[in-house]
Amino acid sequence: MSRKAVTSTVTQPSNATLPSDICPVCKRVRYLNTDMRFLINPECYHAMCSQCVDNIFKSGPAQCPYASCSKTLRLRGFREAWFGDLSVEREVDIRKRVAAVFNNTQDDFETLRDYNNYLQDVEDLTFALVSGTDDERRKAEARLVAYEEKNKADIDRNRKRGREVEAARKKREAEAEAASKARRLEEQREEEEARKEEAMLNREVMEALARGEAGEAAQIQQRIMAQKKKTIARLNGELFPRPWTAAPKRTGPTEDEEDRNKPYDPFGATDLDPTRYEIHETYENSWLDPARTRDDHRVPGYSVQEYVTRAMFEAFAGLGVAIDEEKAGAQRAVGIAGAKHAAQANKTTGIISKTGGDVFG
Amino acid sequence: MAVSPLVDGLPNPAAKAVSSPLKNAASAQASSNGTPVPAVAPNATAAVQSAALDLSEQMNEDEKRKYIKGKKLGEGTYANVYLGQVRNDPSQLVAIKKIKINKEYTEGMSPDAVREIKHLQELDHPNIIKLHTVFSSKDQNLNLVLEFLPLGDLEILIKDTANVHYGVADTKAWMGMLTRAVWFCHENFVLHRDIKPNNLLIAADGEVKLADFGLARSFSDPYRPMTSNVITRWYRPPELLFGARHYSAAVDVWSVGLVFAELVMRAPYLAGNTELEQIELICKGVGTPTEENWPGVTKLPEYTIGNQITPVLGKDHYNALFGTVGNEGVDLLMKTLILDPRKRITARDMLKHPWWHKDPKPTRKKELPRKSGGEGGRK
Repeated sequence: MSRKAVTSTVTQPSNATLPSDICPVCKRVRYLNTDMRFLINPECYHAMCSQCVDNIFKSGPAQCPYASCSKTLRLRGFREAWFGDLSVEREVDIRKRVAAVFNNTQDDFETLRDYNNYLQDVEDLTFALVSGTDDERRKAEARLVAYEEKNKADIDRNRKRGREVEAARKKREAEAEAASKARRLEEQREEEEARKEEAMLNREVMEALARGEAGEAAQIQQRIMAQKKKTIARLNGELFPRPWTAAPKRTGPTEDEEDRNKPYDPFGATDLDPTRYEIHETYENSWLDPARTRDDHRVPGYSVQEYVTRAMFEAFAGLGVAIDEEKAGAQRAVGIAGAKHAAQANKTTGIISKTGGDVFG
Repeated sequence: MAVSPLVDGLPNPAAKAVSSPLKNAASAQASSNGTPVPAVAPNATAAVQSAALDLSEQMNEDEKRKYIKGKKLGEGTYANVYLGQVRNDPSQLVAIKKIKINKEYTEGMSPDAVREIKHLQELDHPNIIKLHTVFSSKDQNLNLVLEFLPLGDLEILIKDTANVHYGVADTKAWMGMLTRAVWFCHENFVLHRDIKPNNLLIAADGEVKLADFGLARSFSDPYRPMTSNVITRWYRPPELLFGARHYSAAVDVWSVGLVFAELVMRAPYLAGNTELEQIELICKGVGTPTEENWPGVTKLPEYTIGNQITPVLGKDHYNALFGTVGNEGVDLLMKTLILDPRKRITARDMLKHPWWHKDPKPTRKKELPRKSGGEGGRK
């Protein structure tokens, strides 16, 4: 809402409802002008037909044609009213404007009480603007402008945040809508299929009857039905699960859905950070220094940290491995699996046994 | 001979005569991999040398008899892969990788096999292929019993543009599994050194598993050079192309970045035919490594760049090519393709990147696209 419109809310509109047939300014009637539209200007909420607006304001700002009104109006400010009752239109405009300025959310307050007090304040101010006396309205207006001036940064921030939340909500809704639409289509298709299948079965029965001898009609029908019963049962079960035939209903989401809704864990629920020691940023060691500085190591990215991490791992790899437990575990799982099991049980990570040094360079 | 009762009833007594160091080595691998040893150990040390060999053969035989070898699944440069079944539970399938006898290494095992066994037996993670056991068969062939992964590899999916369609959520799920595997390797001080889409196999349940540890090695000690001739060329980072001998886990991260790019483009991003061309492609597709963006790079032994210098490409370039993965995805990709390995993101930090939590959520593994027309899975 522009700054222009702001000052206007101070005035009370004189006529409460939008005229339906006769323009109060030029007295033209809808009977002769079927495409008549009534416009208002939020400066004073005085309604007039679009032709009057064109005629009076086309050449620039002019005074409102209502005898009692001294507002200067511009063509740009005119618009169609959303509500028939212009006092409602005005109240909504005011509320929009106040909400745009007082746009804090509950998260901005420490306690619920603070938030409620704030809401109360805002509502008092709004009420004063909407239906207060002239004096009250002027005061409220002054407070509003002062608040806006003072908290410009906060207001902008909240507005931005609000827009983001709104965008997220819209996206979510659109997604839900698309999903439900897809589901509906799928259901429709399945239903169609089931119907077709049943119709086909019926037709087959009829054809068989037509071909067969009269005396054996019942028999034929029985045979075909028995043959097809399974198909029908399957289709029914699949496509129209009925409470009395279907398996007991699960409560809550299915396992599959739960699996689907689980947040994605890029690490695959594996944590390999050492639990029994810490890796420091640097280790003082004169033997390692050349590897840090020499060009043939440094430039192609040789990482002393990787070496150090490994040295630490190997130094402490035996910690927390209890041979007795491992032996017992070996009955169930041998080899690597067993070692891993033992490793997990003892909170050591990764490789347990390291066999020999490197054979190949 | 009579010292150890275990020797009695050996299925093939003649084998005693041909026992060799190789057999010894192979069964030693097997024992560290889970064959029951304990009761035997003191006995073996007390026994004479020949008895110990017989014992190892006995153990090897036991291990071998647990599996039935089936049809051939494929042939690689240094191994054949067969389908296998567990004797006690034929519904359980395994892949048996039989290492070919390599003429270069007649008196020992080929280093690829050693690397593979050495590292796979230590790594146990859902996104890394599992090594069940190792045994040697007749002719002293080495057999690796691996997890059976029936659904092909990522390369098949990437290439089959006509039949396989996938989106960002699927890419994210695959990248997640790959990154976790690489992270786990690095946390356990193993460099994979051959990450590429066709080493990313897919299990029956859709889980991607990092395989082929034939070039893997553990992190090197300082002053101990490593070979720079590793990683398939298209996925090889600039430091290796420039002949670096001391490098870090960052080499694998570069490969992961290029797999990411390939998943999105459905074509290799930097596919050079020679090493020189590869360097050229990196200069054009990522940026020319210079002293500004990579201090010291000119001192690397095989530093060569064309005469044209491309500044490091910005976000716009990547957005145009990989924009479908979203802003965060492009950011992650760019961080994996940083020229200077010291500034390149680590696998751990990759997993901490906000991209994983942005929309869309990664597809669940059972809903991931699968290769078309493939034979049925395990179940």
